[in-house]
Amino acid sequence: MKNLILISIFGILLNSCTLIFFNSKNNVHKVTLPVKNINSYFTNSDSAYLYQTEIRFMKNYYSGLMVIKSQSDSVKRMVFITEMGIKIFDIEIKNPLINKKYYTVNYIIEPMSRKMIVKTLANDLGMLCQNGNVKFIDAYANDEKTFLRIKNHCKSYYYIYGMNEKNYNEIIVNSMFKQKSDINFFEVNNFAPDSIKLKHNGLNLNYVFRRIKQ
Amino acid sequence: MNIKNIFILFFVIASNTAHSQSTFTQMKNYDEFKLKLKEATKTTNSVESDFTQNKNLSILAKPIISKGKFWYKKEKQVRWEYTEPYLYLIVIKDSKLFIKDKNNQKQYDTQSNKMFQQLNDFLIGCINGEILNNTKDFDLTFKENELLYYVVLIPKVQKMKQMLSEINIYFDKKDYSVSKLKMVEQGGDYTVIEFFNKKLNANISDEKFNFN
Repeated sequence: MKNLILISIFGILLNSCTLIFFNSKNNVHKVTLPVKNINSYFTNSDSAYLYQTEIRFMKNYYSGLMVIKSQSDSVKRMVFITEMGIKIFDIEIKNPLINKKYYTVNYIIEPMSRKMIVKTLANDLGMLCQNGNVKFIDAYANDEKTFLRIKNHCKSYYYIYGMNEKNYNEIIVNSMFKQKSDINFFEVNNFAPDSIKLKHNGLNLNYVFRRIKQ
Repeated sequence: MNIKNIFILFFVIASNTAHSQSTFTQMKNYDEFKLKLKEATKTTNSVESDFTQNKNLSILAKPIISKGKFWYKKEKQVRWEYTEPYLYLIVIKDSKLFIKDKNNQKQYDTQSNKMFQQLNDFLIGCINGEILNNTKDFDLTFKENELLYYVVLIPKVQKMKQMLSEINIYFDKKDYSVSKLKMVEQGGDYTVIEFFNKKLNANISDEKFNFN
């Protein structure tokens, strides 16, 4: 019992330190949480979104076309094919922040089929597939940006909005101890960004998406 | 690595004739067809053509269209240059494979990489018709109509079957050149590559197959 209390106190202190560190790094202060839901991207179910995609993982490089299709309010289907039409993966993803089982793999090539790789991929792509059902828990701001936070297990997700902007243009994912990944969205048109960059810190894994209009 | 990761290949090109969609019936004499195909590819030293690639996914109402140019020179030189929707290049020369896009380029040695060796063999086998003798890895069905020969290859190897349920090759009866290639995946998605504006035995500089 004593140990449990000590562990709990330690956890709370760590969490507080993480927040303090983040606030200090970004020079932000706490503000009143605005009434705001996440503005979803890729919501138009009548059309699909096509991106030229590069995935760099360690020494491996995969390039091709990513097709993103909204199947319903909560499910996005993401199909990655090489330039020559060979399918690399076909995954259906829900919001990982509110669904325990948030992805279904319809197909994936064998070199990428290991559980850890699939889970990392689904987590990363899932961050592109948010919807309005996720609730922010607190908010921070500096002179240029507003940071709205979601907490899920041991991670904090900061959705970053420029001043007076409707759509978030960045997501920072922090663990208790450090920044895990950073996703930047550029030039939003017709419910989708024209380009996206996702970078992991501490893991040699990066994605670049550039929208193609056909 | 296994045959399943093989890319699809390049053939001697089609004429400008529209493809007939009339019914295909069982080929009467497929040994003769294979022999004549082999003879035709023996006399073809180089190929240059345009191509259009349509990727059909069940989740899309329309196919994804890519376009480009293709060059082949005996014995083992291939250049596959995509121009739409963006620039992408594959060059095969001797035992090396080179891939380049706007932001990255990489070279592979097929002799030290089994996957790429199989890819290389598969590509060349389709160009010279040898693929049709590969009954070890494929079950083949031969059909024809008044304009085209049509061969269906069903993979036997399990790992390739996971990727492709069948490959369809259409040969023009006039010159035994490949006019269309269709790769069908498990689940029904498929890729169709059609070849246009062919030039056979044109003088193609070796520089076309340099890695740059």
